[in-house]
Amino acid sequence: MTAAATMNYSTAYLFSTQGISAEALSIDESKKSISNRLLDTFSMGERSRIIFNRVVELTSIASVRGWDGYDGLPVTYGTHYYARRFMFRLPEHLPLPELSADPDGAISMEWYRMPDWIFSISIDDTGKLDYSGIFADKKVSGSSFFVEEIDSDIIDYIGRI
Amino acid sequence: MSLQNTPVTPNEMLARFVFQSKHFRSSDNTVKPECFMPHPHQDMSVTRHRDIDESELWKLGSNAAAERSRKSGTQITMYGRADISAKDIFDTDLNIEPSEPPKNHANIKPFPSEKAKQKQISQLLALKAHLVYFPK
Repeated sequence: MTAAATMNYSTAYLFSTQGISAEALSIDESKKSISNRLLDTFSMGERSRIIFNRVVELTSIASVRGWDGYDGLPVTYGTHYYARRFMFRLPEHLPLPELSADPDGAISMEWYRMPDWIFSISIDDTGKLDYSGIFADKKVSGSSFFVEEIDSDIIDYIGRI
Repeated sequence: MSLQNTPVTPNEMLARFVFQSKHFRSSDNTVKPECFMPHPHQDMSVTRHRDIDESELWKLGSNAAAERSRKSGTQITMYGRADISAKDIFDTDLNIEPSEPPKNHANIKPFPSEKAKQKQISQLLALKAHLVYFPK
């Protein structure tokens, strides 16, 4: 169990890209290769696999303009990338969200308990987050940017679900 | 008979047709907020129940699905509709303006331009909406 938790953390770290030089990109590719092998080898890669599958499934549905029959913008690679990064950064104890595509090409991530207990974040190809939640009589909404870490307020809102 | 010149009253029921499987939850038969997201548009289409029966209401939804299918070049399925009262729309400080054709069509507007506020409104509307599946 401890090993699994440690490896999951490592896997999330392996997806980090902090440099843009050729060397940095090469190292990043190596990290991805290693992490993919980890995902294939160990059962604790299940969470990562779910994230990949959910994002890929959604992108396949909304990959072209007009995917909704109403001029909907496609989910771009940039949005795909930020959504994955965001979910990899979620603490392990939090559930993964259900995904859907927004008409503006953003990916919507929803945590749901019941209609009046819900939290949702839309993330776009710049890493901009637009969020809203209802917790019975309390309502929250706002915007921020996701860079490397998830704001503690957002972690708290997700944790309430 | 056209309703273009008949203002929407709070006691009217409105239908938002559901064209995406990710716009409802079959687990508890509820409407997802995404069904009520206008973005990037600042208005949202609904169909008034007034003066038409159930079969005609579904026919208008089928026509809308066919039009979307034609525009997108892919098959758009109508899964059902989200019914909501006009009062619940007015309670969020939005207006409902008749906009025919098609028959009984109206636009909910103006949504705020900020997406976070749009999401908040869509959650409030989904909370009030009632999902009706398209009969097979």
